[in-house]
This record gives sequence, structure tokens and C-alpha cells, in this order.
Amino acid sequence: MKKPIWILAVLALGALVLAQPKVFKAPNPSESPAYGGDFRDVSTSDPKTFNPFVAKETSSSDVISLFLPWLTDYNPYTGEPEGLLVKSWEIKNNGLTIVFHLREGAVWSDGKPITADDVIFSAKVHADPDVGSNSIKSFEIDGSPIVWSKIDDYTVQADFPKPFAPALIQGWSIVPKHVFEKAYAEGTVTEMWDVGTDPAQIVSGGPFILDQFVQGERVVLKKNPNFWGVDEKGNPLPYLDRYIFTIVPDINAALAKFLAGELDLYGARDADQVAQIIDRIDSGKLDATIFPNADVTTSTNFVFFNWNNEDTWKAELFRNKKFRQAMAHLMDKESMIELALGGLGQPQWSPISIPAKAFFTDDVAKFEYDPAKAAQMLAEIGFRNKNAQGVLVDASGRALEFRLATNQGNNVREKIAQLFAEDAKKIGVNVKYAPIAFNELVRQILNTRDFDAILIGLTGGREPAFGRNVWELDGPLHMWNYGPDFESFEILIDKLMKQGATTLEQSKRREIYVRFQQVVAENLPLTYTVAPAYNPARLNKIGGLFPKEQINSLEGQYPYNYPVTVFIKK
Amino acid sequence: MSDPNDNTNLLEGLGERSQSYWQKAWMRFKRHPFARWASLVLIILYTLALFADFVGPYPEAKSFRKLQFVPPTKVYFKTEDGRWTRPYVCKVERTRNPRTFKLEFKENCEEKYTVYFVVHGHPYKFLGLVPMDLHLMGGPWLVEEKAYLFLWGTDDFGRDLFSRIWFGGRISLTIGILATIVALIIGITMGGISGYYAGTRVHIVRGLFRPPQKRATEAGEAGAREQNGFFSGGALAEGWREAARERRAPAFLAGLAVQYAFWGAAAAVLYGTMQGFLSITSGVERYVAMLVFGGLLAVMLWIFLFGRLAVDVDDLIMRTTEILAAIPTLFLLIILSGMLAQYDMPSSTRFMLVLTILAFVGWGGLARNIRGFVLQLREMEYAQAARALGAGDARILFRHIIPGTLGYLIVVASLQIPGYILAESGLSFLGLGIQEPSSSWGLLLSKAQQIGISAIKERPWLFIPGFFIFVSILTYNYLGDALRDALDPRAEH
Amino acid sequence: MTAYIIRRFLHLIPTFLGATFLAFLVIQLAPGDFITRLELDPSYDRAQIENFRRLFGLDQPFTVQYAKWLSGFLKGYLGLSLSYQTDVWQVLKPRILNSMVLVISSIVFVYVVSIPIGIYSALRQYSWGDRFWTTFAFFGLAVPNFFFALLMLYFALWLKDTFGHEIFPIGGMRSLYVDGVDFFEAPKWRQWLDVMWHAVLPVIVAGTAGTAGLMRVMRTQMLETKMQDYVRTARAKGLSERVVIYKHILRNAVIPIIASIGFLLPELFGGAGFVEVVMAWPGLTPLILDAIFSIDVYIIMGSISISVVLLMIGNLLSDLLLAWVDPRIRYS
Repeated sequence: MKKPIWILAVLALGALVLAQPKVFKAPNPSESPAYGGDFRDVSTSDPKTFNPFVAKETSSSDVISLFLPWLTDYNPYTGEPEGLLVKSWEIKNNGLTIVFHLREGAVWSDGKPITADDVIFSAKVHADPDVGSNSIKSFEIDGSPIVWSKIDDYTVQADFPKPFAPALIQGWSIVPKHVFEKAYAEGTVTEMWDVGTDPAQIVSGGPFILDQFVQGERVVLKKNPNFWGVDEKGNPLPYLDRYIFTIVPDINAALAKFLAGELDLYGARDADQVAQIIDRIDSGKLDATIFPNADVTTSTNFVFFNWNNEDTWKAELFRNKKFRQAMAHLMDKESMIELALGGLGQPQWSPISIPAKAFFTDDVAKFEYDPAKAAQMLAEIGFRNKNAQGVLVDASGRALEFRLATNQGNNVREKIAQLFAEDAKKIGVNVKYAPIAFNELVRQILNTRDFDAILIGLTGGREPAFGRNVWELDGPLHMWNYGPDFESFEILIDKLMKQGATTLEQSKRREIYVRFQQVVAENLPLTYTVAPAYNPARLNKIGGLFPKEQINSLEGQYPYNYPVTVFIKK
Repeated sequence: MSDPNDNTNLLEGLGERSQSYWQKAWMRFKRHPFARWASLVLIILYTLALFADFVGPYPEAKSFRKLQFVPPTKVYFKTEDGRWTRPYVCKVERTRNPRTFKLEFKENCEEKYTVYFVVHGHPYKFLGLVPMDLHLMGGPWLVEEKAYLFLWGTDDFGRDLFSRIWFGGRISLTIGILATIVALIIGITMGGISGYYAGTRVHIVRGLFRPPQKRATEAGEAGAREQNGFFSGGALAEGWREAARERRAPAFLAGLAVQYAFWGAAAAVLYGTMQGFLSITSGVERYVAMLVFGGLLAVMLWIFLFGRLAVDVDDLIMRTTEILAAIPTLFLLIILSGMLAQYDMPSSTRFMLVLTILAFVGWGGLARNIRGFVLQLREMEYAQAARALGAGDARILFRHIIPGTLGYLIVVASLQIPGYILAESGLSFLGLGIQEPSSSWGLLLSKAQQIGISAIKERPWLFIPGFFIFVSILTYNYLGDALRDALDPRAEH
Repeated sequence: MTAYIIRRFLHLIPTFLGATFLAFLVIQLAPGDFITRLELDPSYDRAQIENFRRLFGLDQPFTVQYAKWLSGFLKGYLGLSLSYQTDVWQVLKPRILNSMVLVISSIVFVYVVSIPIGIYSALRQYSWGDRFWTTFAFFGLAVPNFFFALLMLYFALWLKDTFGHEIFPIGGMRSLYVDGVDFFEAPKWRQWLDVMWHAVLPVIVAGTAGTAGLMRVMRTQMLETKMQDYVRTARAKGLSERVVIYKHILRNAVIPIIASIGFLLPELFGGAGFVEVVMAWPGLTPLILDAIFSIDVYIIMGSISISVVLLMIGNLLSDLLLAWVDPRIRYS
């Protein structure tokens, strides 16, 4: 076919236009990449929009980030901030001002250059509360705005109201001003680029261009020949012709597709799925590799108690550190991993996601499964006798019982809660397990505050400073205690979080967050349970993926959030 | 199973030559090819579910942490050298292969555990009342957990599926009947009232004043003057005079209070809606909306002042059923459970809720049919006779008319029950039905379904609940079919 | 006749208002709204959450929301989907079209299969054939739809493992590639063939219960007509059995079934049910379920209102059809 000529044309074009290309480092330098081919991935749900100001879920933003560029992101190998659309930066004014230099020569897929105007315009729209962008938080710190201004066509400056540690991570989508400007002026910016938009009208500044969207079935992106990235040898990226997301809502159906060789990547959920993949590989029907237990995912599951309980007896009990530690001793994490997570996972003891290696520490207090110890600790705080029903009672005869709610429909949490309730009953703590719909759970946590204990989870990430809403005293998700009476350790956590967010030096930040993890693990405002394993699988014909030792759940199977280094082996 | 019934029928039959409708129906029922089998199977299912504690070796929620997805325990009837012996089982150990990640089960037959019948085991309270510990199968080893008896394997939480199926049967088999009963109660009441009172009008609003146009037309009539004042002659006053005459003034006043409270609230809501709507609307839409809302409020005011709004209860009920029928059934079912099941409630309440929702969705069609019957039957001589004898409306309706629809009701009930069983499993499939640790067949099947296709091959026992759903619906359908043939008054043979 | 039709149409108005208002009310009964699920996400704060509510109009009283929706509906606008931030019709349309492929095929399947069998069963009542088909029909009615779909998927997988290639696809509606090229670049007839190939198993699942039901209805109808006086008269006149069956029994027995075709109208736009979820058919049902679980009010309302309108028109059509095929019925 005409491919070689076409590639040559692209090469020539790339050499011409890209004055300052971004070099994307391949994970495995020994591989020799080849151009062409389709890369087939899976998504559990439709993108709901292609408009970055409207997107509220990863199914949309994952697709958008393939064609709308960011300024900076984490380096996939070092975890340090790294420029994407930004070539370099200068930190001035004790970290309060950052000057970003953009890559000259980067262009949108319609040929117009990507300039400071696009960046400033995008920042303005994201920060506009009447637009309702999800990224609005990237433009303020504690209510004061971060001011973006244009220096020249390829230089922008951000002024921060106070020092902010993750200031260099600017992960919001930059849109082409010439496309969005008119709609924004007319107040219809949220109507742009919806799912009905003809893909040909969507302009790309990233590695891929939207090619097809068939609702409920697939999203197809083709390579952007004008992309501003190259590999280490200076070849233009991406290698792939097309990147195809098949939309498969059911995780078992997705597995069936991978087993049939219709998907290139898959993340096995539990040991059963791993076993099926291995079985298929062993029988020679699938040419693939799987890495069971390669890492842990960032999702967490924890129990917390309501310290503002209207029943003061309960509130006091829940505030008692020894009580919470006793409850932690009742968590049979081994069984939780086996039954709830399906065999693969790790116990979690501290609030920072295990894969966030830059801050995570294992050196924290661990209250291992030990019902006898739990019973003894409960006796120490006054629960020495049992009543006729076999429930522990304190000196005043009040029985030790509380309700543990979790969100109905979440199999993992339902099982964790049931296991905990069973173990607690065995030593005489009457835990009443109650599955509740998620929205009702939210209402109880945030509005009515009429719960005893709740098992729920939050998705963690790489940057602990983004957990401020949970840990600071006035955070909207300081779910266990909305004050006004705070324990001293909570005040300490609050202080550590504030320090962590404003300290710029990495080694000092780590120290702060290690201390933070130790305080939380010791005092257990949230009692962490178990985190599911990350078990990536891939077809062997796919190249440019992380080798086994580099795999981590934050990055996934390939570096840079989009498959620029990925190629199909010839 | 039918012996005692047969006898009574025979005895009755000896007394009189001609057979009654019910006796003929019974004869026809027995002639249906599958009716007996279907009844027998249902009776067995209900009995086993009733005695679930006794039939199942383990309590409903008992879980074994190390024994998730254990295949059915093999029961041996022969020793290794081939001699017949008392049934026994061996201990099973479960491990996960560290390379293939497959579950492996090893039977250790060094020690044999004899299965005893009707034996002491885990204690339970029969029907929640009588403390007992007798089980159909088991042995001391079962309670001490030296070995296990999982006739149909274990589920994803290491619970004995055999036991859970009988516990689940309690819910699955009764939810259909109870929902049918509730639907019948609502349907009979609504349909009965609707048919019985068809054509009778009930005032829902009486205006304060005499309508102006009426005053004008009546002005010339003789003797109208004293009743025709602006204040004296409203529908309200008319109603009051009528009520006073019939000595039911308190009821009239109470009704009036309700009417005005409702009317006032409706007007307030409408006014609030108008304000809210106008505040967020502009352009032509705003002016049209002003006209529409203004018009509606004006009409309400007019009715309040001068009007007299009477409706036919029959109309009201039938319109309601039409509205219910207009929303697709499955849709209504899912929305109702999706929305209501979100509230925080104990499992028994949830059971009642699921049941009520099922019934709520199903009563409309019933009510329409019963109304049709009642319309016919209320004109029958016996109903007229009862009225002539001074029987009250309720008595005539429920003692004389409704029983006439009994044959129809039985058929409908037997055909609605399987529908409800199916609906319950559908709700469970969506995660909106019964919640763990309780069990129902729908819930058990949906848990198996979640594991996906691979489970059919590797853990087929998890789908046994599906078989039970299938069998119960099948038998109910046969039963309904037989009943329809039997109770059809037009049937000749 | 015209007056009758107009009256029926006027009748639709209160029913439509009642049904949509009821549906709207039921949706409001749920705790929380579309935004609630964002509230436990650490990356949002209170102000942002409240801002979303304001932008989506969720801070308004629900009667105002309903009035706003109704006003939009009267202008032919089904509302703005909260999750897609676009016209609801834009979201519903492709899903409805996908579902229609299944629904129309399964309706054809149902009628083609069940009417002949129903006739056969009635003519040979209580024969072995009748018993077999009765049993078959009851089997069809007794299997939960979603479970049957899973069994079919397994069947497809089994076929593949046994014969080494895909006899039937394992879920989905379109292949990624047809004859080596992208689906959308293949010739139209190839695309249709591919879709129909994907539809075979879902149609069997979606059609089974309907087939079973209609088979029974047809049988009952035939049996009832058989006992009518005019049939006896026809036989007495000495007409051949063939003429009696086809001219007298069948023609009359089929009347209500023809009339019920009007009821199929809302079905066309209603999705094919759980089979779409299990067999990954990108139809209306999975979309609606998603919308219900995320409380995307206007997607739910859009779909309900379409159903309600079509149901009412379908009822009317059925009545008119009945009058047309059955000369005994006249509306005035």
C-alpha cells in the first residue's frame, strides 16, 4: 500500500515543523519499534463528552487527554514533574511565580500553532464557575485564585497566592482558542464537542485524533501526524495508526474478549481471572503474558466511626483510641483478601496508596488480626462481662453494639463488612451489618450524621496533598469528626497536611508525609483494610510496554498516560 | 396427596346427583395432564422451604472462610474395596495453586465421616420461635467442623449452597404469593369500588358563592329569590343544607376541610412553581408560561369561588390505572426499586418493600378486570335482592358481588405468582432485590451470574438456584393452565 | 369516527401529564441526585458541588424542574442529559436504533414461529405434539431472560472452542473488522450481514418468552373459536374441514392478534431488555439502567415520555385496527 510514502511525508513534515519536539523515552530501549497497526484497549463505559470543561468521569477525560494536551505531568520513570507542552520552566519569587516556556512549533491538527493564547484562554474557561469545569480546583488555593498571564506567544506565567508543592503539575486540558472562543463568548461553551459532534470537527493537539465514536461500542482514534513528540532517535510519534477503545460494561465480557485475543491489554481483577488467563496461555490458545500481583491498585477500603454520634456514649466510645485499635485487631485481612478481593491483594495500614512510592512508608503501627488481643483491649476500657445474648457490656450494663453500613452493590465492601461483623460477634461485639445505597450513605455522612460506622473507600493517587479535603480539620470529607471537639492528633494531622502542601523540597515533604502516615496508623481515624492487586496482562505482539519490574498501577502498562511508545511488533 | 380431598368430594357427590360448579372444576382439574405433578412439586418445594432449618445442615449465614467455591461434597456409598456401607464423606482441603492460581481441592479419605439422618446439629429456632437442633443430615463431625457436608457446593462467601437454597426458597416462593395477595387486595378494593360506584359523582370541591351565570338564569324563576343571594346560594351552602338535612354535618365539614387544604396546597405549589419557573426563563417561553400559569391559577380561583367540581370515583380510579399502565411495567418496577431501595432499612422491611413495589406495579390490570365483572354482577338479581333487604354497600360488594369473581381471581393469582417470582429475580439481577446475608433464589442466581460465563464451566453448582426458579415458575404455569381449564365456566368437557 | 379519534387524542393529555408527573415524582423519591456521587470525591469541595447543582438546575424545587422539562417537551426538546450535557434525543437515538434491530427481528421471529405452532396445537389438542409445544412454551416462560442470555453466551463460547472458530459471536453488535477492513469501511450489505449475525443469539433470547406467550394465546383463541356456533353451522352445511379451519376458524381467531399489533409500537422504542445488558448489545436498556443508577433525570424522562406517547398511540391504533378487521365493532 501507500504507507511508506505516507510515513516519509510525515517524517519530513515532523522535521520541518517541530523545532522543539518532546522526547518520549521508551520503557525498553532494546526493542526496535515499528510503525503501523491498531492498538485495542477496553473501557467500561462510554465517554460522555469530548468537551474538557464538561467531563466529569475518567471514561471521558481519558479519551480527551489523548487529543488535548497538558502543560506538565509526572515523569513516568522518576515521578518528578516533567514538561509536556511545556519545554522548560523557571521558578521565581520563592516558588510563588512559575514561568512556563511552551514548545515552539507545536500545532493543532488543523494546522494552527499552539500558543500562549490557547493556554491562557483554557485557564480562564476552566476557572470560570459558570462553566463548571472539573479542573477548577487547579486554579485556586484555599479560595484565592492562581493568576495566569501571557508573557509572549510562547511564554506564560502562573502566580500562586501561597507556596504550593504540586504547583508544577498542571494536568488540565488545553483547548484550541480559535475553536472555543466564540462559544465561550456566547455562553454556550458547554455545548461544544458533545457525543453527537462529528469527529472531523474535533481538533487535536495531542498524539491522537478522534476518528469514530459509536455509542456503547467503540471509540476510535487515529494518529495525529502533527504531534509534537518524538522518540529518542528523533522518529515522530506515535507509532500506532489507530487506538481503539472497545466499550464493554461487563468486566467478565471484557475478559472473554481478551481471552479470545480481541483485546491487547487487560487488567485481571482477581485470582480467578488470572487463573483463566494463565490456563489459556498454557493451552497455547493465547500468546500473552500476565503479571499476577505486580502491584497494588490505588483504591482503598476503610472503616470509620462517627465521633459526632448523637448518642454521647457511642461518640465517646468511638473517640477512644483503644477501642479503635481493638476494632483494627478484629480485621482478618488474610480472609478479606481471599474472600473479598478474590485471592490477590495486600493489607493496607496507612492512608497513602501503596504504589505512591515517593511518599509511602511501611514503617507504621500495625494492629494485626488478633481477636484475643482485641477482647483484652476492650476489657481494659471496661467491657468485661457479657449479657444473656453474649454481647459485651460495660460497667453500666450498656451492650457494645453498633451498625456498620457500606455501599450496597459493591461486592468487595459487602464482604469485608460481613467478615468484620462476624469476627466481632465472636468476641461479643454486636456489629450490625447494613448494606445501603451509595447516595443514602453520602447523605448520612455529609448531612444527617446518623450513622455509627461506615466502610467505604476513596481512590488515592500519587500526590498526598490532594487528600487535604479528607485530612484537614475543616475539610468537607473529614468524615469521622466535623468538630467542634478535635483530638490532639487530628490537629497534628491538619498541621502536617498544611505543611506538606506548602513545602517544596521533596526530602522534607517525604518526612512530613511519613510522620502523617504514622500518626494516622497509630490513631486510626480511618482503619484501613485491604487493597486489591494489580494484575496486568498483555498480548505478546504489543511492544513499548513496561517490563515486569517497572510496572506500577499509577502508570499502568505503558508510560505517559497515552500509548505514544506502544507499537505492534512486526 | 389428594386422597382426603377426594374423599370429601366423593361423599358430597353421593349426597346429590348434580355436581356443583366447584366439583366439576375439580374433575376437570384432575384431568389436566400435568396438574397433579405440578401440585406435587410445589407442595414438596414449599415443605422443604418451610423446614429449611431442618433440611439444610448449616445455618443460612454460616460461612467458612477457607472454603470459598468448594464443589459439591462427594457422598460415598461404597468402601474402597467395593462393599456397600452407610453413606460417608471425606474431608476436603482447598488450596490455590501458586503458579496457575487455580483452586485445587484435595479429598482426604483417611478418616471417613458417616452421614447420619435426623441428627443433632447447629441449633436454630424453628420459625423463629421453637429452639431446636435437629437436622435431616449431619453428624457430630459436622458441628465440630472436622469435615463438611456441602451437597451442592459453597458460594462466593464459603456458605453451603444446599442450605441457602432452602432458606432462599422461603423468600422466593412466598414473595410471589404475598405480592399477588397484596395486588389482589388493592385490585379488588379499587376495582370493586370503581365498578360498584360507577356513575355516582362525588364532590371534590364546592365553591363559596353562587356562580354568576347561574344567578342570572335563575333570577327570573319564582321562589328563587331567598336562595339566590350572592352569599347564600353557593355550592357550599347547598352542600351544607343537604348535609344538615341528612344529619352528617361533621363528616361534611371534615371533608370540606380536606378539600380546601388540598386545594390551597395545590394553589400554593402552583404559585411557587410559577415563580421559580419564571425566574429561570426568558423570551417567548416566559410569556407563554405566564399565560398558562395565570390561566391555571385563575381557573383554580374560579372553582374555589364559584365552582362545583364533582368527579366519578370510577373515572378517577380508571384514569389512575391508565396512568400506571402508560409507564412500561419493567421500567416502573426498576425505577421504583432503584429509587426506594436506596433508603436505609433492615432486610425484613426491604422484603416488604420489594413485595409492595411488585404489587403496586401489578394491581392496575386486575382492578380493570374486576371492575368489568362488578359492573355486570351488580345488576344481577341477587345483588338487587340484597340491596332491597337493606344490606350496606360494603356488604353487598364484598359478600355478594366479589365472590362471583372467585374463579377468575384464582386463575389470575396462579398466573401472576410466576410473574412475580421472575420479577424478583430480575430485581436481584440489578442488585435491587433482597440483600445479603439473607438469600433468595434470585439473589443466589445473580451472584453466580456476576462471576460470568466461566462459572458455568468451572462452578456449575452455583447455577442450581436458577433451576429452582425455573421449576417453580414452570409448575405454577402448569397449575395456572390447569386451573384456567378447570374454572372456565364455558368448558364443556 | 373522526370525532372518536379526536376525543381519544384529548383523552391522552391528562394521562400523559399524570404518567410523566408520576415518573418524575418517583425519580425525586430517591435520596440524593445526579451530583451526590461526586460528593465523596476528595477532589471536589462544597462550593464546587453547590455550583454544579446550580448549573444543572438541581437546586430548583422539583415542580419547577418538571415544569421546565414539560415546557421543553412541548417545544420538541427532551431535555439536557446531565451526564452527557447534550440533548437527550442525541443520546437516545443511536441506542433506540440499535435496539430496534433486536426488537424488530424478535417480533418477526415471534410471529413466524408462534402462530403456526399455536394453530397446530389447537387443532391437535392434547396430542403429543400439543403437549410437547405446551411444555416448550412453558419452558420459555420460565427461564429468567438474563440467565438464558448467559447460557447463550456460553453456548457461543462452547461452539468456538469446539469448532475452532466463531460460529456465533460472543456478545456485541458489530465486529471491529469485516473481511479485514474496518467495519465502517466495508460495503453496506456486509455491515448488515455482520449485525444480523451478531443478532441471532440475542433475538432467540429476546423472542423466546414472547413466542411462548403468543403460542398460548393463539392456541386459546383457536380453541375458543372452534366452539362457536357459526363453526358448527359451517360444518353442518357440509363444508370441507379445510375450508372450515381456514375460512371460519383461523380468520376469526387471528383478529385479536392482528389488533394487538398496535401494542408493539412502544416496544419498538423500548429496548429489548436484560439481554442487551448480558450480551453487550449497545441498546437502550443498558443506557436507561445507567441513567437510573446515576439519576440522570432527563434521560429517564425522555425515554418514559416517548414510551407513554407511543403506548397511547399504539392503543388507539389497536382499537382502530380492531374496528377495521372486525366488522362487528363500530366506534361512534
